[in-house]
Amino acid sequence: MKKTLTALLIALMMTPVLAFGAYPEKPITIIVPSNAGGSTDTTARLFIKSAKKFIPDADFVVKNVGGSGGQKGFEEIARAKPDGYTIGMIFTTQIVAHIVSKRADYTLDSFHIIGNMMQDPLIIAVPATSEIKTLDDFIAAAKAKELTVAVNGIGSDDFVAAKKFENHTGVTFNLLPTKGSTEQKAMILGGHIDASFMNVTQLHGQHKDGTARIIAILDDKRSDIIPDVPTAKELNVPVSMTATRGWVAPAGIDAEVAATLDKLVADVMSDKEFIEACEKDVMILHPMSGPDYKKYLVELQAETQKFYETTPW
Amino acid sequence: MIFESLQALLAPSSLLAVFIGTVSGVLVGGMPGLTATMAVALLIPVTFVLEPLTGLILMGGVYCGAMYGGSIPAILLRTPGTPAAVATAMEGYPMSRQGHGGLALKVSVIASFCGGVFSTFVLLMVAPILAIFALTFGPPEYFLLAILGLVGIVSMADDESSLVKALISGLLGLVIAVIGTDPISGQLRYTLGLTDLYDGVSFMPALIGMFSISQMLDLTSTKRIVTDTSTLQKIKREPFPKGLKKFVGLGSITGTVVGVLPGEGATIAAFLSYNFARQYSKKKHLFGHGNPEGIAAAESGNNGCVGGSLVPTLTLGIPGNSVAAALMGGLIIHGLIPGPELFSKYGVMTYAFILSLFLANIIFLFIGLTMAPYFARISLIPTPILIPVVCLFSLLGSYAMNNSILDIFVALICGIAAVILHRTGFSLGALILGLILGPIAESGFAQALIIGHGSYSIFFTRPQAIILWAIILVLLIPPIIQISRQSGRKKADVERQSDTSAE
Amino acid sequence: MTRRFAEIILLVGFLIAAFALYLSTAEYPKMVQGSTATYVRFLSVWLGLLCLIEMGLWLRKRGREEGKKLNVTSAPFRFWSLLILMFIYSILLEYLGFYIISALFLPVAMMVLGARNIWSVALTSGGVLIFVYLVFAKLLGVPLPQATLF
Repeated sequence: MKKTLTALLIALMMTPVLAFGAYPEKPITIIVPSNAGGSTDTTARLFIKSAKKFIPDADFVVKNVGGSGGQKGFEEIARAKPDGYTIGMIFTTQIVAHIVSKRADYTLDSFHIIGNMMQDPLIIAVPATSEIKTLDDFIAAAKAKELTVAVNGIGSDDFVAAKKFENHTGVTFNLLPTKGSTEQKAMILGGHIDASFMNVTQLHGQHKDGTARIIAILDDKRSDIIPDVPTAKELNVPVSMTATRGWVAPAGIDAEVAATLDKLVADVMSDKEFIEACEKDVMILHPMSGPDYKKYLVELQAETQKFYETTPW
Repeated sequence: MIFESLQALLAPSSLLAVFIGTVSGVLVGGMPGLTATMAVALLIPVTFVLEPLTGLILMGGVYCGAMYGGSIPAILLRTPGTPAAVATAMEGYPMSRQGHGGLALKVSVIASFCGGVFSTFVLLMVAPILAIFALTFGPPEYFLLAILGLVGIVSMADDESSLVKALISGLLGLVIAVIGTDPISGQLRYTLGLTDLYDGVSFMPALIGMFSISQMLDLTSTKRIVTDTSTLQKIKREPFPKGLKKFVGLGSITGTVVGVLPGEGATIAAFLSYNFARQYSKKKHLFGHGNPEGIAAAESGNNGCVGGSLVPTLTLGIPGNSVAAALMGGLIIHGLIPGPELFSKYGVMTYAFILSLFLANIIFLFIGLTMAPYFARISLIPTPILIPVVCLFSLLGSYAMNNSILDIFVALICGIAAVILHRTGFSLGALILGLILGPIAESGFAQALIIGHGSYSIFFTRPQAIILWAIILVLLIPPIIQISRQSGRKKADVERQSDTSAE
Repeated sequence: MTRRFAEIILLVGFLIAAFALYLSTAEYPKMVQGSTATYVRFLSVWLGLLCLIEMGLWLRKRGREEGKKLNVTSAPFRFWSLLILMFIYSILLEYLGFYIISALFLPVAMMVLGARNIWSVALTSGGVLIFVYLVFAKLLGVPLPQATLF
């Protein structure tokens, strides 16, 4: 009862506290380039909860700018006034995919990269009833006939992973683009496709329940969530791919404000409550500082460019 | 376990949560542009402070309440609060104009209640079996489901406009739905370089424009929405129409089944139930002019979706629609991973949550029935005051869906286009149907061909597909026979009629 | 303009659109020529055919229906003013921000539509804005358009 009331009060009293002088003196808008309720959105809302502990005067407003693979949201961050009152989240590979496909009105230089927060390695999953039990089976089956493999849209992390896999093993997939992980999950569980490339957090529950089977994780080391699944590297297929989710602000932001924001993100990343919440929600923390993350993004862009040149989308 | 769940549900904090959730859900659903998805997402961080169960119950209440709330402005102002209430607007608003707004609201709340309770019951009893059924639907079946919905165009034709015009309208809707990113190649099509169009013409603004704004423009020439005020005095004593039971039942079943299919929404459920009712009704001629049977079917259909959509969400972790997806986010955040464990290890909480949905339905039934006469007065407000307010909320709602200025213009353009199309005898219902079903039809068609390695036989060989074909034929044949018979009998009359029937 | 004439203009427009749509599918990438391009071609062919059929019907019964005026509205002044006001509202929304432009739009539109009671105009306008502030901005945190002009 009491808790309900407190919660309601929190919801009702999101009134900005007016404090003059020091940043931030008005609410900070967080642009989330995906729809409300998704995992990026949840990350942002968890972040706000912790961030208020470190800058008690700060107020945050989440603005969901969903759709178009995040492009609308990314553009809005890049276009925003660089006064520190608009920051936003980005996710890979979409952020670079839009640049290489020449669709985006921004480049990586349009952002001040604050840092990375989460990662979500790619996995290869097959239906529970499938004959394919291991990665070797998978490659053998793919060589025998063209397997139908679902990915989350062209240019997504799944797509790049599938292309990388094709390049390394010399197989060709019958790629099936979908509208997102929900559709991929339904197709795997219903056995409508042969396999799917998707993120580990999207399917680990089904793997444990035995309703789907993850045959490999495309990461450098095994995941704590599903320790029984071998990495592709262990099986001599050196393909690794992960999705990241980090923070940026528009470029040209004041150095002092930038420092405050960098510190805030770092602080939240080491906040015990935040870490606990992320573990519950099975989000895999993967802290990267601003410069490191920038380097990662630049490399990813170069790599994506290669795939774009062979199969443009 | 059920007993423990009941105990958990009857705790004061849970009861308060159901109540607050449902009431705010009705409010959110009633405002165009505010969606249940938005509200549930907002609640996610709030639920952290609460017990997981309280948080879940709060979200469940919002979901149930919002699904019903959308019908209130749809009936009174022809402004659907949620897209799922469009079919309700098509029958409810004419009733309001005739002074039966209060009755329409009552029919809608009772139908919503029945649909909600039925689907929750299904969720409670047979969730795992239904989930397996949901999985048998692949791309070819989704394509056929879209066709099944489009068949409704034919049955819409026999009254308002000629069949050909209705078909043209439906195709126009499908063509407009093509705008945006190609679902297979990711290529942009007909977007004019506008980022806001990359995901296609936003559905809700288009709807608001075609239904709400066009209607407000129309109303500028009248003093009040209600044309016949003589019936107003007897709102409270108006007899409840008989024979709605079978339509409520039809809607509840359709809604639940469509809700169970992952990715299909309440909008499609409502339209399908509405079309079934239109086929099945003995008073076909009344459809489009305020037939309570249509409201009963549509509302029980979209509320039937609530329980249905939670079936794959809770058992498989595949959310049935965007609200269910946000709700699943709320579950996961508390470490509750959907799957069999949810019904065993965390069974007490899961069952308490399901039971709370019954309670939420009872609460909105109570709100709806007691408030109906008061809500109905909204349509008595003089138009000079009412129109600007409704227009403001329509424009604001169009903006708030995607935070997009372009969407406001989409709404305005659709508004004026709807006035012109309506005056020239094209069918807006058919256009909307095309717009809703276009994306499903296209991606289902294309994905099925990929899975079938380019062969069309995939649409005819799978057992589920064959059943769908059979339903399509059953729905298609009677109206075609009827139309051909009609045009044979009164060839001369038809032309005269088509002019006078356009209001 | 007669109703039949308006109809024929629309049909010709749809026919041209269908034709253009059909031609544009040739530019789709090769990977979707068998899937989405086929779908779009199917739509455009049927749209075009149906438009032609409807035009044929129009020609057959043209003689009987001449002179029927296309009556968009019986209150042209209010109809068009409201539409223009809404367009102005949408254009200025980005510059003036939600609250200022709404505080202007509501009373002006009410007056144009014939409201004469100043009190009900003021109270409704104020009430609506406070409601939006409380429910949209405070309770649900929906970001409303902010003024970019100042």
